Amino acid sequence: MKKQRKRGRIWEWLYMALLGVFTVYALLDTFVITKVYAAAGTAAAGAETADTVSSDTEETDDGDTAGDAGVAAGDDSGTVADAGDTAGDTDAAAADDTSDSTQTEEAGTVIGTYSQDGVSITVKEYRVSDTSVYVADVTLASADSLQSAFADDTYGKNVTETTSSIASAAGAVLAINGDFYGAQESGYVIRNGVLYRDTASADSEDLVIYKDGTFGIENESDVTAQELLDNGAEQVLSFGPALVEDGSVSVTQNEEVGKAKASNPRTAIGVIDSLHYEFVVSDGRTSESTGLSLYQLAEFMESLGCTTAYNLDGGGSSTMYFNGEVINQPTTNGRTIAERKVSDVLYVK
Amino acid sequence: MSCMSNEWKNSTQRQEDTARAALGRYEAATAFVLVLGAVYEYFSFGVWSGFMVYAFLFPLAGGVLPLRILLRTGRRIPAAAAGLWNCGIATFTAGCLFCGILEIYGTTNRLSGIYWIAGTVLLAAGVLLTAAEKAACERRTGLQTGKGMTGIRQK
Repeated sequence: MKKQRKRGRIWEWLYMALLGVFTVYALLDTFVITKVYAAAGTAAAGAETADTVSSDTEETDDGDTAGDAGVAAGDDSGTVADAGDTAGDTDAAAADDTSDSTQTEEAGTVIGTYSQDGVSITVKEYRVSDTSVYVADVTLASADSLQSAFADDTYGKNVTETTSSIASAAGAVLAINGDFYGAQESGYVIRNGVLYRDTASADSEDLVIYKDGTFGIENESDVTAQELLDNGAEQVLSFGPALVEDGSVSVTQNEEVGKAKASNPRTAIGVIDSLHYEFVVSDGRTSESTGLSLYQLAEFMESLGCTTAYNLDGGGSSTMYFNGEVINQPTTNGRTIAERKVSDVLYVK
Repeated sequence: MSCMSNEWKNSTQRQEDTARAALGRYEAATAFVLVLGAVYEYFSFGVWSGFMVYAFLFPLAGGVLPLRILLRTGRRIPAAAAGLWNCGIATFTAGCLFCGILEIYGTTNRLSGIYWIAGTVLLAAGVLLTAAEKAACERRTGLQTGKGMTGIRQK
């Protein structure tokens, strides 16, 4: 009888073991196993989209998207000022406009500047709500200078590199981490005018950067990726939410309970006016910097004068690269100060 | 063997012991998942996941509570059905923890859907098997209650 009962339980234990093995596989599939994908529609022979994408994909393979020898990282001949040269500079826009929940304790300190070939960048450090926030004020002569790049110049899942590594390979002067598209299985991905993923993520608010450099916020429930491409989208980032729209904060303090209210490292990008952008990265999870909530970040972006601002992947991913160096304190695996590997970056060259 | 045979009556104590052992395992699993979820949440930098926090409800509501009711009422379920039910609860619990990990990290995986499908199938199979055994038992003995139906498996 005992033997029979034991036999009866064997399949139960076998199933539990199978469940364990499956879970390990699922975790590996999520975080470790690398998969390289083709751009959306490349398999659809004869379609108009396929023609566009295949030519664009070749362009990517040729290295035109990432890896161009623009300005060699850390070796540019532009005018770069070191930190401290203009220390004490203040940003009136940010200093004058602080709200109840966002306390800017001191005015921005210039970390460095860059000016060459129609690209003008001033990077400043602020103290906002016990957090170091790095702001790159960017003015471009052409929208072509604002681009994105994939890790290993490859579109896929679990294909990752550090922001500095991707930026360096792309010849970027300035870069911030993107939306970590590789961590999601849905959400539009359009980069440098190429449609890579057209699977909509329900109610996802996307940042659309058009060919002329203007920003738009679109909901994936309302528009297809192909329509965005047809409308001139050059970059589509699917993370969010939108922080500022029409010059006003567009998130509430109680929105997205949990993620939003927690103080964490953050990354955001905003536009002030034509070809004038703010790249923002905040520290967090350290004794020096607690981090910002989404609402605090939104208020800060608004105070900088952004008409549209958008939240990108944060936490350990938050990294700002400028002139060959990582200038913030990115955290990885908890509170270790080290760059996390990410799927993609937005950069200026 | 009849559901009302002496053999079945003799096996009641053994089955009760088995149920108590299963109850102990479920209580341990509930406590483990509760602590695991709390610790994971503690180190998740304020990123909240209902999957992670409430995963312990599966072994609690699907194991501890039903077993306590069964022990109190004296009702039994077939061992095979109990096995299917246990596998279903384990699948839901593992799936919930998996979804919690993904949610806290901020990612998704299509494989998470398999947990919910497999768990539902296993639980449904357990319930159907119990109902089938009960009906068979009642047919043989003319009993109108489900008591003692697990005697079927002891032959």
